[in-house]
Amino acid sequence: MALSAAPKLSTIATRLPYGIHYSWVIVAILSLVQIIGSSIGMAAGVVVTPLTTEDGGFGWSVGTIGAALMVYYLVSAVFAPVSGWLGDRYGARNMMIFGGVLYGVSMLLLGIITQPWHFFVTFGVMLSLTQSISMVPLMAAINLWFRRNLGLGVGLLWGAGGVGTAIMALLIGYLIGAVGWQGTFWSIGLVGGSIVLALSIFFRNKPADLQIKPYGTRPDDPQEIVRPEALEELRVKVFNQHVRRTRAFWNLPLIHGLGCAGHGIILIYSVPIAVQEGISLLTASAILSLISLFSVGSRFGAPIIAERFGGKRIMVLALFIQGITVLTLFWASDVWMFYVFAALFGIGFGGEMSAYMVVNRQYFGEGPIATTYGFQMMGALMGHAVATGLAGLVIYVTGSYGPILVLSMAFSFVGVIVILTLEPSQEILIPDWEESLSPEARTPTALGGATAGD
Amino acid sequence: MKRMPVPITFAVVIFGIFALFVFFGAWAVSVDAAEKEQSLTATIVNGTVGYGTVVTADSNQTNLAPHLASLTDTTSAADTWWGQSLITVCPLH
Repeated sequence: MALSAAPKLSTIATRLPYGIHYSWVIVAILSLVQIIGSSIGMAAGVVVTPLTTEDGGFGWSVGTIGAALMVYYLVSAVFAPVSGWLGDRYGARNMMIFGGVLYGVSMLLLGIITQPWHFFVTFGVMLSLTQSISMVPLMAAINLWFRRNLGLGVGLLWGAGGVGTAIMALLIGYLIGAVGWQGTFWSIGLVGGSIVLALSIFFRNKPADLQIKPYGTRPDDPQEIVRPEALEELRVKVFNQHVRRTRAFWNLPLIHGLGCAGHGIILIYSVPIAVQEGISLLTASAILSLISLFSVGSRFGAPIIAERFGGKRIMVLALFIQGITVLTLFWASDVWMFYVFAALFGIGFGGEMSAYMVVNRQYFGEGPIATTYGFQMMGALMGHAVATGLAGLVIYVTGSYGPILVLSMAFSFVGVIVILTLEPSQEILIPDWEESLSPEARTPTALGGATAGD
Repeated sequence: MKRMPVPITFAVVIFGIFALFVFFGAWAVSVDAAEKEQSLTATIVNGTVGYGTVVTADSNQTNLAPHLASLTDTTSAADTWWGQSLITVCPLH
């Protein structure tokens, strides 16, 4: 099979005023889409109280809501690698359009639910698919836009996501009180879905689509190759085969899962815990907003630090902070105590989640990473599902929130232990993966990955 | 084709999480069964249906039987296949 001709890439890597590279537009677009698509999952704790109280118009049991949340995370988890593959196959832009439509429809239907099974279908299945799409193929798309400074791009993307989630949690809490359940989800669905669809007009899958080079490309870097679809599919398949033989392939989703199990419990039950202490729903909703707000700094900083000093150290630090700060909740009874907890917890929570894309480049180089990242997101979402299910069982049998806080801490600390067993990231784990390819499918010159010492 | 190495840490943690589910699941099944039994006993002894509704035995004697029947017909989690499985698998329940 003949190698296709190299595309006519622009030697000028900018098309915007003031020399702004289009990669930053992509970061801005993905940030907004992430805020819209995944914030409903992050803000799930806000909807627990309205659904479980008669005042909210539903009066369902905590067990029912817990089961629906578990389904939400399970469906997201199972669909995460699939959505990664779909992104590789049909492009991130098509996934964005599909996700925007699905988001709008899901939210409109969520606004008119009357029975628990309606909630299972709209929230547990439809919105979970939206979350998978917004978190896997779209997040992985940024990898193609940065040859260097990926940590900065990823940090900005995750940092913006933190601000957005903080706003969304407060907004949902306020809207439910002001315009009711239906008004809340109809307005968010219409506005959010429309924004995602509008943004897809400006989104491109890769720099070559605009005939520019990725951000940070140097003159001596190898020229990008546009290969026939069959060769690209072969590269993805061979790359994934090599990745699967590494220990990191198994341990990274596990660590992400443990980290998410640790904070998943807090995201769902910190608001009910505060409400149980006599704090109003709106005031308690601010806990989630503060967690998100204080996570912005670590969401932004963790990928940059990981790129500079290696991913292991920052991941250990973040998970330890996430675990140890939960202790605060055992004594929290006043609003200010919950807010202090939220601020401290947010720092660890933010750092836990945002460094994976950089760690992937350190371990696996610049290969097609979407499917691997999909498995890591599968681990993360399974962690949320496990946390939700286990926490529900523990609350049922003990009738107390205390044991689930212990569980949350245990998940975080076991995650720290697993990180310490990871390989050091000075060298790429699969440097020779392209040798399994036929010559025409290989990159002309092997590219170095972003490596750092641990 | 080389085999896919599953790290020991991965296997241990997954087993641990599975064990937690079995333990708390079996505990939940036991609690459910105990509550059902307690509810049934309370009904028979006090002439009440559950704890929420108190009815006197004299005035509702004829109406009590259907309630009792419905209570005894209602299966607890311990009577389901998954409930039995959890109890069987868990060495502590």
